[in-house]
Amino acid sequence: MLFNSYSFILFFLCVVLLFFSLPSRFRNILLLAASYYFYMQWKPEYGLLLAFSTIISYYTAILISKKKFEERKKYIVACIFINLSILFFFKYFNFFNDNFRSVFSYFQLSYPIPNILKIILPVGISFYTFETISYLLDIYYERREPEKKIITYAVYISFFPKLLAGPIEKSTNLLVQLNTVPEFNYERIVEGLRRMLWGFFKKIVIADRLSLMIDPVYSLPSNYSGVYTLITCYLFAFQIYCDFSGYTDIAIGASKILGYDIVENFNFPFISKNVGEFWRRWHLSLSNWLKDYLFTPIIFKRKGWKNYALVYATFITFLLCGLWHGAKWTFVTFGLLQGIVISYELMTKSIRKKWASEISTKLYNNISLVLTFHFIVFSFIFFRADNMHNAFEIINRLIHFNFNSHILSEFNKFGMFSLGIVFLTISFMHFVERKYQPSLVGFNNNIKINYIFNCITLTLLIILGYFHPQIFIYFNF
Amino acid sequence: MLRLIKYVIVLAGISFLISYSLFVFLNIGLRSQKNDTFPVINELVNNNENIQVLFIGSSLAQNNINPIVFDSVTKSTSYNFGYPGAKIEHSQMIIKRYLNSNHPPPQKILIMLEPYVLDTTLEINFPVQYYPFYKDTIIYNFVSKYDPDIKFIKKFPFLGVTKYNDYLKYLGVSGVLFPNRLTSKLLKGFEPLDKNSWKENNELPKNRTKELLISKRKLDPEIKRLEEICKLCSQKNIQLYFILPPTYKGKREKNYNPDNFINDLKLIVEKYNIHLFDNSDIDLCQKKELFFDYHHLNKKGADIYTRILANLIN
Repeated sequence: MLFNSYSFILFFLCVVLLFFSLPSRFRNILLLAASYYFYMQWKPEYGLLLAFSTIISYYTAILISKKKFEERKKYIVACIFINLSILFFFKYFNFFNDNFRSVFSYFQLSYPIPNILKIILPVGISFYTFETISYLLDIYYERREPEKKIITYAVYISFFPKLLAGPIEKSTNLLVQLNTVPEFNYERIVEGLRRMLWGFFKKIVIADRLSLMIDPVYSLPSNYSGVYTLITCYLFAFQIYCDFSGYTDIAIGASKILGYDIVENFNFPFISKNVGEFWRRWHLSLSNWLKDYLFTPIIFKRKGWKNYALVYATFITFLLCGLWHGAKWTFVTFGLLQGIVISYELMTKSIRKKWASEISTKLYNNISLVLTFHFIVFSFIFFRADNMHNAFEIINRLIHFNFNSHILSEFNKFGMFSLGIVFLTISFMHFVERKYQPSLVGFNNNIKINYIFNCITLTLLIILGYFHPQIFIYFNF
Repeated sequence: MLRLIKYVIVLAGISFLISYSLFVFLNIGLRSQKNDTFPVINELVNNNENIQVLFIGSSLAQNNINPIVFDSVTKSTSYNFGYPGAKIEHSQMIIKRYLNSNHPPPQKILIMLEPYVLDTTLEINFPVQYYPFYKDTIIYNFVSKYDPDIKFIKKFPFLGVTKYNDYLKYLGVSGVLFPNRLTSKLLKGFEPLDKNSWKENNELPKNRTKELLISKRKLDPEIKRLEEICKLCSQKNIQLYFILPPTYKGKREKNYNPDNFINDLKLIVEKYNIHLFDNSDIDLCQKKELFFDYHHLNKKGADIYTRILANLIN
């Protein structure tokens, strides 16, 4: 069940009506049933996987909370190992197996392990595995008490608005709220509706329209001129932003209507002045997870290495960040590129500060912003390309920047019309988010503007939407 | 709760009103469009001129017969209502719709036939082109069988615009704003094909619905429709012609079991006293330079063939 489908709207409407009609003690049961129903629409058997992961982490958490600190390690290691093994099996087994086979065949050795045929990645597995791990680590480090009610914990892991593509929730936020009773609140519901509408606008009007232009180029880059390829590379940055932040808006809006606040995931990522800052503005819940549970522990462990510990931790973190997105060399390259540039930024921090003081700070910031944006656009080539061959083919097109007769057919009148719509809608999105914040909280105090804005968004959605439901890009991760 | 319901109703009401207005606006533009087959459907619905000879069928009609050449030979008025991928039911709809107009019925109807037109598994080609005409009952009844989206449009016209992609929106807007700039590739419904597009590797389509015509049972509904057309034309005193158009070197798609098809046609022809012209292997079929591909003539080929056909009919 896609967020951008009529069946989801009907499903959500039923859940909301039932949620506020039921006595508070039944609400979490309803949310759990709704979440599993929602999840099992994809592939029913993967609901069992989610349930297994939930049950095992729930009981492990209770177990380790009863043990002394020194005795906890083996339980938490075992539980994390099981969760990561499931993730590894479904997401990475074939990738590593293929690569091992290639290495063996290079040395002309036989390799006996066959690939597992047709593994379908359980949607959202990377997200809920990370949530499970963060919960276990929080219990391990005694940052919180284990949740007593299994229903509440199961809702925390499977809460349908954020189950498929995040935000990755920490137990200290959502789980705490799930133990409270949300009241029916008009202002809150209107705020949630507005946020959902905005998410649909970004996904259906901008991202899905852009995918019509971008997908053909990434499937057969050799068919397109350098100019067109360059434009699609820029446009992809907006597609992925609108796709993922659109999903997040819908998730946050849906949660808000039900009375819960889940974390924000974006904060104007494309105005970042360096790549490190970009990751503090892009997919915040993943960045924070990696910072809290990977980067900081590595730094702490390697504190004797001084500056090199930073570089080492950055590399490991971004390598895993790349791999988290998918089992492909393109994602590994994407992660490594981030790692290299952020390491450079860390190592040259003082020199760059000196440069900034020598020239105008405004000029320096603007140059940094442009460079950062272009680096992100470049690294997204690896993020989007289906394989390394296509990624290099696209880069090759960009290097041999040709402007041939093809360009005329690529930019026909109709294409220009679509591009015009894209330009106008992106400008509208930028204006709204800059003026009223990505979370649109700026609308809360003005009823008239709120009405007008919602009317405009809904009308634009109907008029300009591309109503052929397309999967959210982050569902693949 | 009431406050929330009021809020949603006001919001949706305003948006739906604007969206409906835009849908009406786009439909006006699309109905006057000259691109694709919009002018053909427009001619069918509005009947701007009194037509004496109708050409009906799939792209074999649309690309193979030039009404302007035909008119110059026969001194009559003709129009090509060929539609890419059209099947018998489509042809039936066109005849019904045309006869539903205020004009006197045509004198002659020529249906281009090939085994493929009996294939009912394929959908209508680009059904969205019919959406601006969704209020027309005959068109609606036909399209709704194949494309349920038109039912959605009829029920919720304020959401009709959601079914149009950017291309149709562009056509709709340009149709209203720049009506004088619209030009059509079509010549009275005839779409000339590029003479240089023959590809050496062009082969007959393979594996296309192999089982279809082999199963006689599945064939029956379409043959029945053909018979219905015959009855209708006979009631209205319209002379009906079945034409098997030229194919390069007389090759037909074997998958469609052409022998069965021709046998069925012959039975109908005898029963209803209809003219059948099998032009699938006439002299011009040997000339590669007249073909666009195995089944479609290029502009030059279409002009020559139309002249041959006009003389046959005369």
